[in-house]
Amino acid sequence: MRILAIDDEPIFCDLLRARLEQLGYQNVETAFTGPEALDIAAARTNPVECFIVDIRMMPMDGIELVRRLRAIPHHQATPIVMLSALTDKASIDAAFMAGANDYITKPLEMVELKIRLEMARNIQAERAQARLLHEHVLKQEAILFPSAEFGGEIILDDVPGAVSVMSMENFLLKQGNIRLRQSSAIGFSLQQADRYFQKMDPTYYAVLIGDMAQAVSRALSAFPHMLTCPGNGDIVALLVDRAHVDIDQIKENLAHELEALRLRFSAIDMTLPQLETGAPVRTGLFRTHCPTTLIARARAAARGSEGTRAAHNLQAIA
Amino acid sequence: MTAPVRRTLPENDATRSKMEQALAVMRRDFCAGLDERICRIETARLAFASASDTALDTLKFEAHRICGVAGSLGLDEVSTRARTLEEHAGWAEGRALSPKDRAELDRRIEDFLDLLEDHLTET
Repeated sequence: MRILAIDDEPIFCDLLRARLEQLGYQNVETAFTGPEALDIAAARTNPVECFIVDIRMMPMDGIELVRRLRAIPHHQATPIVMLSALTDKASIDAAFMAGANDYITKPLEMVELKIRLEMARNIQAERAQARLLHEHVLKQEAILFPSAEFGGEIILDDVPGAVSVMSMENFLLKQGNIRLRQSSAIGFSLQQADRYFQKMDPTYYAVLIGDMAQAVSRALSAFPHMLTCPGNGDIVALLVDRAHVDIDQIKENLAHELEALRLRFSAIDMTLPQLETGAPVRTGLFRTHCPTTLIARARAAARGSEGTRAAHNLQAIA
Repeated sequence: MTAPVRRTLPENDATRSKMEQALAVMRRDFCAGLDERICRIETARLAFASASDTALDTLKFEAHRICGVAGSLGLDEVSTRARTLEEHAGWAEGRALSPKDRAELDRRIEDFLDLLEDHLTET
């Protein structure tokens, strides 16, 4: 795996390289500034397969660098691991929003570095596999999501705030109890999604989900949020540091966004499916569930009254 | 998915020894370069004394950088004190500080500079 580590402290770059080599990563390059990193990242031949980015750098900080890296077409899904001190919670949130997949805390711990890099390698391997599948299927019929299964995750490249399920889970796992309590998740569920999946070409189904996710993202544009599409026609939005949200206002915004989409669909003689919005779910201060269950609870809440009841029960327990 | 982690990794003696040597060189380089950092912090301290708006931000930035590097090189006390100073400067930022608060922050900066100078002279 070719790694590019970016930190404006030359000594830290040396240390990181030594540590990575110790872990068996021999193909490590370093850059001291954002612009230098962007130059290296732009190369298509022998592309960088994982970025390690320090958050606090001058003059371009790590968050801006992540945004610019994500704007490079061939790095929209390349794993990006942020480097940060524990005191940088707000910056870490911003980095996830900009498209980072994970973060490592400074001072550097070998075990943590090893685990994070393994995760990045897994993302990279899945991505390579998806690309191979993609290229293979494109010869016959285009396909946009790796599993091509109804229950499989759909990776969205062009929706603001869209992240993989794994990235959202990582983010949730790294929040403390109090911060986690200040965030809420909202599930959105495409009604009769299975029928649409059966009737449509998988490519168009993925495009449909992408359009819906785009509408959700726009409806939530007033809040810092991240989105994921875990499969089965579901979309989950995580509203960071928003314990209380006006769900009626969000529904109204969404209805407005979907209306615009409905007009586009009717122009091609297609009916836009209904998108159900679940009640926001949160976790309790003294949580008994793993934080990642927030995603499942948000999905359940979006799946009609039964799901909503179940989610309310869970909320009551939490 | 992230799981709880052990804090140490099994390593063989040769690898550990090689890494320790490399760390010792980096630690020496870091300490030898402390004079520039001391100079930047001292400048920020003087600017803070003359009520500069950007002094605390500079101080935070320098302390933050030292915290990350020193801790990773095994200089735990320097790292911890740098973090404390960063947090204190962050707390002070944007507040109307009383003379007592200003004196306390100045004292912390001075103590931290003394610590850095101790490490510099060791090299």
